[in-house]
Amino acid sequence: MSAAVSPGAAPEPSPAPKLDPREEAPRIPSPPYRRPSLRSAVGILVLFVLFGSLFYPAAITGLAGVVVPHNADGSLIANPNGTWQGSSLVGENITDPHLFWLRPSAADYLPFQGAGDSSSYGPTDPMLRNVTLRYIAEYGLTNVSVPLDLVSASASGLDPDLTPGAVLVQVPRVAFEDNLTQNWTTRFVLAHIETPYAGIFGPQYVNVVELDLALVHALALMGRPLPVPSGELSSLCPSGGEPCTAGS
Amino acid sequence: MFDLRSLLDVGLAILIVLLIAPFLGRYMAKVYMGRPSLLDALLDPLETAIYRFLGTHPRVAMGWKEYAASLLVLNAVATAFVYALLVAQGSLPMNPLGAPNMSWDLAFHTSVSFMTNTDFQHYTPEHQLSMLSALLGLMMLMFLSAATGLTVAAAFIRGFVRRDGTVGNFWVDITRTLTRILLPLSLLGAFLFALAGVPQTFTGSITYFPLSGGVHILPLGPVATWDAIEFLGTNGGGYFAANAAHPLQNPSAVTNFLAVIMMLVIPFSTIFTFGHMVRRPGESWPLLVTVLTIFLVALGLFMYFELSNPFLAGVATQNSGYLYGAETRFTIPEDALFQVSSIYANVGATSMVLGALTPVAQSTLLFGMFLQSAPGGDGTGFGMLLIFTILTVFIGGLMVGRTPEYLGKKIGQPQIKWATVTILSHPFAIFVPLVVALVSGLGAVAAGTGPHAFTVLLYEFTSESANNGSGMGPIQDNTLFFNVAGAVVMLVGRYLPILAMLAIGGSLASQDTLPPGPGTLRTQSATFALLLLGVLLILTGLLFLPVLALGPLSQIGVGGL
Repeated sequence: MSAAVSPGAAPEPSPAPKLDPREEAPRIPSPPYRRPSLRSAVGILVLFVLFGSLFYPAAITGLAGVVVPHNADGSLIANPNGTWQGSSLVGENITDPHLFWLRPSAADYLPFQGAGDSSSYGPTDPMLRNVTLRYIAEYGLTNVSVPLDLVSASASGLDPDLTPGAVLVQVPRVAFEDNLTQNWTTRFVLAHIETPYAGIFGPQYVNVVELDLALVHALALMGRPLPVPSGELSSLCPSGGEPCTAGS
Repeated sequence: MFDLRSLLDVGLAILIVLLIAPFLGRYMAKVYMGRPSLLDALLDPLETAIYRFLGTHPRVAMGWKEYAASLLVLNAVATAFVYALLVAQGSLPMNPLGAPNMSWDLAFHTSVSFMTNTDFQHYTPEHQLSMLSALLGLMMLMFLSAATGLTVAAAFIRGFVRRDGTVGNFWVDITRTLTRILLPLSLLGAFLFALAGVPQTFTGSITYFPLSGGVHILPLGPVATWDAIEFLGTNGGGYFAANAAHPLQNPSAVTNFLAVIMMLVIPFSTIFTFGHMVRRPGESWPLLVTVLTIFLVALGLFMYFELSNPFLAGVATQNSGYLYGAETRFTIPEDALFQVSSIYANVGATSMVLGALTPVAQSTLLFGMFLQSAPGGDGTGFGMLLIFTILTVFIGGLMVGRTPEYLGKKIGQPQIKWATVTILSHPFAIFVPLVVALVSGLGAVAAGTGPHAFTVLLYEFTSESANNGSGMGPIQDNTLFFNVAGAVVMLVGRYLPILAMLAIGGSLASQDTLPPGPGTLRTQSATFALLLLGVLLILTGLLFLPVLALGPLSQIGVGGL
């Protein structure tokens, strides 16, 4: 048995006697080389698949499904007719002038696209200015000072949030289109500002997906339901009966 | 300006990492030294069965060559397995969104990328990766690559205490890394992520009908479990293309906070593991102070230069900071903490678009990948730090005119030879493909021209050589050249340093330990920390400042920047 000792837990071999240890550290012959075992390698692979790929996700999926089912499913919002309206975490390409808009998106808010960073310009690329100016024009905000987040693409292309300033700057348009007072609309927005969690985590922001849903709901309660946007949603609404608005 | 309260978030995250690290580091040392721990009752019988299954005996230790060969064989087998999965995924089960088979070069790049702890993604996960490939292939590799890195660190450190030429039993080390370190931490981390709002389901997608009209597909999956090992394993590949910027992968400032802690905790703990394994816990402190200094300075620089982009002044207001290519739900300090942690710990996850960062912020990130060791990825980051430490001891020894020694082991020609090769291999692996890309015109096709395009290309190869995995778009890199060249760069950037670390460890293990003499450089001192800091910054600066000047720094002065 030529193999030397030591699992992780090797007892220290007693120091060899030295004449003058500072002169020359005696070289110890290398332990024998054995060819690595393929069986061990395949065995480790099986082990990592069993634990890392199967046991680990299955255990957490089971646990999360019981403890936090809403989170585990993706924080989904249901339509009244039982279909999904989306996730409160994922932004939408809202272009209806009656509603608050989100940031421009390289992915058009299509999660399946997986935009990644395809939208970026360098920090001093003239396009950075040009694109920003174009968005300001598209959002119809050339006469006011516009917060950058409203007129710049997010990293994910799916950002559902805006800074409070970026929502408030849209109040005149939304109030006009929905025939609301600016005062009421402003207070409505202010009531939907999320504050930093536990006082320190995150900024003040507004989840615009939830804000618009609440707005649609509030307008419906006032007896002024919004026309349903074009698209397949209308075909799913029950014909006749109640006005088909999203949100409950 | 941002909300000053989020500086508390940043401070708290770093504080928690520093509070956990001594304990986790000590525990990890126990794992590698085979000392008793709480999990023994549960895991000892299991591991005994595993060793029997593997056909290895836990008391048989290996020399460095056998250790390295075992590591390489395992990594090769695993890469081949995942490569086969990826090129055939279209016809395999668990493919809810119909991902097609990957081309050979993309599969090569992807399997190598995840095996080398790089996780550079030339594919779009949403429509180019099946759930089977994600779970059985890439998530398995995320565990395996992190475990590989940690075993290397353990073997390297053992060189300083052993005197029989052995560095440990690779099969035992990698098993225990999984069962005692990565799996328990990942289970905890994934559960915390799920609690904080990250999805965790085997449903591949849902169809939804948004307020804005239309029918869309929302990809879902076991994101919480993916996240935990992505960050704890310093892997950094995203379940979604947008990675940690994606609202389902990093839905709130709380998950951002958890992610930062998970990214940093193992790299910082390893510094303490070292002190315990060499039985001189005090030796950890100068290394920790050096790493922490670099990390905090980088964080401060990044944060300051992301407060606004003067180039956009007058176009739009930046009251909340420079939010171009950032997500609204994170403040600038939180973004900075995430990004600097991710790059300096060689994770490579991104919570913002890196291309639009200001030049100094870009340079800060590049510098972290040039260093690779502040604190660097799981295991290998500490290995790089130890290589720099050995060089510092050597230089310090030359200064006082004595034979350099560290922890009672002589630092001589074999160690310095390997250390030099490692440090030179990094610029070599970056610059050779960079020059090829530039001269051949392939770089211009993929990234365009100009200083920013140069930065993007430099970033691509730096990230691959450092096994970081973040990308600075826009770049069309799913091409034959970038896939094959990238894979080769990742292999060199991973396995050459690993071989060097094992070789140095092995050569040190073959030496007897010397008692400290009058000429021995005292390494448990502030002076030594300062010397190490100087060596790290000066060596890295000498090697890489020229390319930084050609890329991001050349944009300073443009448009008020």
